[in-house]
Amino acid sequence: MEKNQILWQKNTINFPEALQRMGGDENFLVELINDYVNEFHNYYSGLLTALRENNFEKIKIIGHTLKGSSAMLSLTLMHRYSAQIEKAGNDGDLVAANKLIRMMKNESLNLMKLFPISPDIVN
Amino acid sequence: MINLLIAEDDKVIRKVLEKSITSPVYKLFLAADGDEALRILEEKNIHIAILDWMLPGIEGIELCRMIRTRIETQYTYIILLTSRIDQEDLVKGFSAGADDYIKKPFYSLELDARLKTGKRIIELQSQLLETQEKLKIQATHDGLTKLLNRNSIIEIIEMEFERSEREKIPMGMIMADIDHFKKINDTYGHQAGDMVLRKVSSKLKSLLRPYDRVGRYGGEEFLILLPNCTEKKIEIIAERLRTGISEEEFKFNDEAVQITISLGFAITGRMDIHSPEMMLHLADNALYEAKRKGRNKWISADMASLVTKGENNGKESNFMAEKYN
Repeated sequence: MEKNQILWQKNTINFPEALQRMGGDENFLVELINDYVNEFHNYYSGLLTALRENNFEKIKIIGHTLKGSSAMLSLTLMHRYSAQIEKAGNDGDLVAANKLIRMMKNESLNLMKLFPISPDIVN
Repeated sequence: MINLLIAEDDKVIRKVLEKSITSPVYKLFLAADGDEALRILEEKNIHIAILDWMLPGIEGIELCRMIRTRIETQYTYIILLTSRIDQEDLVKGFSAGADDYIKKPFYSLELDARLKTGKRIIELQSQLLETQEKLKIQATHDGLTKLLNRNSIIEIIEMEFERSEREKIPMGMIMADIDHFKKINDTYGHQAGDMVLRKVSSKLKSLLRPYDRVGRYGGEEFLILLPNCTEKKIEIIAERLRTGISEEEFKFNDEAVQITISLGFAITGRMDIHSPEMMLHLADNALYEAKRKGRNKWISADMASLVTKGENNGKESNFMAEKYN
């Protein structure tokens, strides 16, 4: 409970809400968060490439995908940033996209601190 | 078993969906993009599809339209998975053919409830199809013999006649009648008569080629359609039917009784046949002639015509029997 409270305060994850969504299966929730972090590295690389190529459509799509999964896991800040990245992609706002992608990277590090996963998964 | 497709590109959400669907009534098929989802939809008989609105390749909304434009008897219940919730998007989703939607993020209990609705619709549709099929069979088949009924066989003959004319492929028609059927009914009762009708029907069917059609034309009369049939073939088939029935064992009150049939046939490309009605008339005349000549034989429309003109050359089934046996 104490851990849940900390997570909630950190604005990283609304753990009770996510847990309820997963039908109370904590192990499964943690497994999903690990999957999310693992997948995030691929999406992050994709976003950097898209930024280099000014590929706004790709930025929008990745933002949209991350928005869905972060909402599913109640990752509060990740959800907010990914929604804004989707919008930046839609608006063709490269500056905003660049800034948000970096903020998202930092938030992913917070998430990894809370839910450490094996080093062979994270590059 | 309900075949359920989950088309979702995001691994986390796909996993949540997979994990949430625990009932053994669902057989899951997973797709990570629109093209894979389409392939599954084409190959499997999908009852319920959960489609993410935004998918790599073909988008969920487009898949929705594609499913609805397919001509399939099996209905696919579509649930769109979306984070889009404004009215315009919902209207767009439903207009594309979605039955329901789930907003991301979702709770597994909500998903379960929505799937139950889909399952109920699919089950109702299956019952409807089953009833429809039963009614169709009742409307097109004879209840006693299970053969095509008079209307159906005539309808098929009309279509086949047109095809035969168009493609210049000969088609044959045989009219067959059980000999002395009234006597069977009078002597052994109507149940025995019904048994004869059922047995003769089943035997006729078994003696025909897979693509031939047989229907009950009237009381003890049968109409047989033989697509792509030459004069030679129709003679062989008529003889096979005649001998097949006459050799079949019928027993009433432990008494063996021989049942025979008489047959008359006509074939397109002969005698200036220009309509199915004329063909039917000629086959009927030939059948009449076979009856008149003593029954348990076949006569072609050509022969019957010669008989009526007084030029019978004696080419009848009993003289041909040796040749075909």
